[in-house]
Amino acid sequence: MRVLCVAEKNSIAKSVASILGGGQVKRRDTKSKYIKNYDFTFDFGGYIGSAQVTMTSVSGHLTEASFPSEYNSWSSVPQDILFDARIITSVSKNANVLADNIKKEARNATYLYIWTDCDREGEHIGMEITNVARTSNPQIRVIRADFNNLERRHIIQASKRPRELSKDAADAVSARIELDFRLGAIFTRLQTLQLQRAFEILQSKVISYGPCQFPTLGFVVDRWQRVEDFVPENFWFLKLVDKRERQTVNFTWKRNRVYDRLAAILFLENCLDAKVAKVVKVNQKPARRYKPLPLSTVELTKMGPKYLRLSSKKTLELAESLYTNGFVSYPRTETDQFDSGMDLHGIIGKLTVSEDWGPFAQGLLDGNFRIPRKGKHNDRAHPPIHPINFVHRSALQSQDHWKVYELITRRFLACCSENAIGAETIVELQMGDESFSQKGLVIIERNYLDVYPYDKWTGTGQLPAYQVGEEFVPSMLNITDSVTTSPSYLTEPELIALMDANGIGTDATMADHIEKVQEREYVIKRKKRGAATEFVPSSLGIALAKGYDEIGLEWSLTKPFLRKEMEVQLKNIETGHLDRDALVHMTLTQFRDVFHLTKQRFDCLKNSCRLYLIELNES
Amino acid sequence: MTDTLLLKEMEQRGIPLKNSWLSLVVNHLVHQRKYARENITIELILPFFIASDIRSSTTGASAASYDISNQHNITLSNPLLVQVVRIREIGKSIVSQLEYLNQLEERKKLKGQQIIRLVDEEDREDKEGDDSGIAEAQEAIFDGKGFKCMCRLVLEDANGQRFYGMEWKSIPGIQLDTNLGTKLLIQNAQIKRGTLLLTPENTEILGGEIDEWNREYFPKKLMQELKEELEVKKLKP
Repeated sequence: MRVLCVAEKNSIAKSVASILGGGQVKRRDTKSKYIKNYDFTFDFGGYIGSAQVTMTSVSGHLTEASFPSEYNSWSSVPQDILFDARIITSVSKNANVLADNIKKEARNATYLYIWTDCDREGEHIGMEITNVARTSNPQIRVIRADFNNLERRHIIQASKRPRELSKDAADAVSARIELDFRLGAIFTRLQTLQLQRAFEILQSKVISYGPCQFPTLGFVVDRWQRVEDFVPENFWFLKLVDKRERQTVNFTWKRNRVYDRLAAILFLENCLDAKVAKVVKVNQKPARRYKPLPLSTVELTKMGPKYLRLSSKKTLELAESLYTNGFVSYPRTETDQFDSGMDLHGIIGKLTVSEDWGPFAQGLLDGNFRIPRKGKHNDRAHPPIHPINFVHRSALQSQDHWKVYELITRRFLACCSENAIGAETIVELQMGDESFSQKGLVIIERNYLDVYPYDKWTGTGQLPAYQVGEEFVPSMLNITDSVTTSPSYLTEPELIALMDANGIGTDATMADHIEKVQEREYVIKRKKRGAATEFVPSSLGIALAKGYDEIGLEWSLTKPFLRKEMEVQLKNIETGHLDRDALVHMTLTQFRDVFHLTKQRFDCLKNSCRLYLIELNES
Repeated sequence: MTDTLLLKEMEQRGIPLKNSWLSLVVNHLVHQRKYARENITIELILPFFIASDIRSSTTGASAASYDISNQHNITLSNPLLVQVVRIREIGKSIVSQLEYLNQLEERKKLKGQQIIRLVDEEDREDKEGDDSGIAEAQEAIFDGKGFKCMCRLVLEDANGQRFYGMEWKSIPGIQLDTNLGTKLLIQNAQIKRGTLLLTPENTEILGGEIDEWNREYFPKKLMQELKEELEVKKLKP
């Protein structure tokens, strides 16, 4: 009995082979420098039993989409033909050697065991591998491994419990590929040709369109516009200060602030008429700062730029590297709740040897453990990102690898801790018709904060004593003026949060789209004070976003709705509620309208480019 | 009811109608709407009143008997009937108000769909630091929080005298989209530095509007006015 196992990358093939092969693995070269074949024997039990196994891999997608050559000419082929043109799916040039390797190895195998990543794309790649294998061995039986980390016991268990490839998930990806390809081609050709003809400055530039990149650009331009439009405004507020017990207490005015100076004067005079401030409420209550939720991909990609000075893409890449090496679980997950059956204590136990958080972990085992909070998301495929094993700083490839591993581990330990606890005193005053208040916060127990430096919670100190009914003359009461401050440009965590909230991209792809819009020079990343970075649109980016909004807001390619709707429907295909071809047809119909509207009103784009590329740059 | 009785009852409510104006309305009701003269009641007259310009429909009996803008530290002795000429939010910046109005317009164009521009993070360090108004607008429109703080009104009495009124305490029903020409009845309000201090206790909203002033005012004309005011702020350093 021969079984051919195929993983998504060589590093995973190597890891799984070494686990299943138990040290008796023979390595064979292939025609590709990066891909190897690993031979071993393994007893799968069940209906497969003991077998000779060859484990190999591909390198992401094997196939790519293209149009037949008669559609190659941009200038002579009208773009709307591409809505209906046949799409050829063929093995890409780079993947030819990989496909050949699979064909060869599949010839004598009874089973094809797919070991690609367990996400939507992975199912599709599994299908691609299946199609290739079947060309040399049409009778081969196909099964699929269900795994979400590379821990030894988990892999062995997973290998004995295969399932079927999910056709629905593969269909969802197939729909996405077709739509992204067609729409990408159609709109890229349309806008590039028209703008190249109209503007000398763009003559040699390809102005590409991507259905996720444009909404991403849209968010950046949207925020940029607000910064441009901002005008600082004066405002006034009442300041009441009391000095007692050698402390100075600044009370906050309930109305917060007023944008009319005369009104502020009226309020102040009302207070002065009253002469004394009266304490109307003194409340003490417990305060809590909640420990973090279990870690999802979106959260991880936001924390990277915020706390580790790494881009979201880099953060995700490092997490993947840690996963491939068996240190953390699968980093592409929407799930932010731990399954109640999961053995959290076991993982904590492995972390007690660490010199950084060993004692804290031991404390959890000794009685400080608390059940993690549950977030609202569960993709039912993978658990939240968590450490699988302990690893020493020096055993990792780089300092950046360590930073990501540390973040994942500290987050996990924080999840299993108690919330931080404090006590808060609130004092409310009344002076005339005006109300003031102030809070004093004392931190009583830091709990999770001790292992999680990414959250800050500082006390403001104990307030001096106030009695309800007490009256006193404030040591200072006056009007203070200030000015409003401009919003700032989008930071990477903010952009990811917006993409997530508006349904653009999936947790795995968001970081990619952000990279793409920078590559295409629609968006520029620049440093601001400190180590933080921010995104500003390029002139071309602004021109495109404004132009498309002018063409029609509801249909604007730089607004999120069209893509959001598509993502929702892709999910429906994945869960079997919608047919793949039906979605493709529906979406193309919608975009046909968008296409015609865009062509009809293309002057809006030309005017926008004229304004932002030429006129404003000259001034 | 006879005209005299109608006049008397309205006057008791604080609304001294002009005889000539009332006749016009009554005649309209009788000839155009076919009501019998005896069956005409206050309830039939009121809608016409609140849609009218009080400079034409009422006598000066309910107007201010002195120049309000120059008064300080007095309390209104007689009931004062006014119509709202303009409303401004003084608890929020103009940038913030424009953001709110823009998002309202956008929501209409997009048929209820929302573009989320700000995500509320659990640990936002400086919530007060957001002067862009984006968070406020989003919460007001999509989280149902409403957009209202503290309004300052330009009011006009039956003699055409204009002065300021300010919400000293929040009055439900007075906000940015309140109709221009809304009729208010104010009693026992304090006047400080030429401004009437309004509270729910001293201000009764009679409702209505003046079509000429109010038609297509909210939100487009209001936004135009606010933008012009913002331009002026730009010039003053």
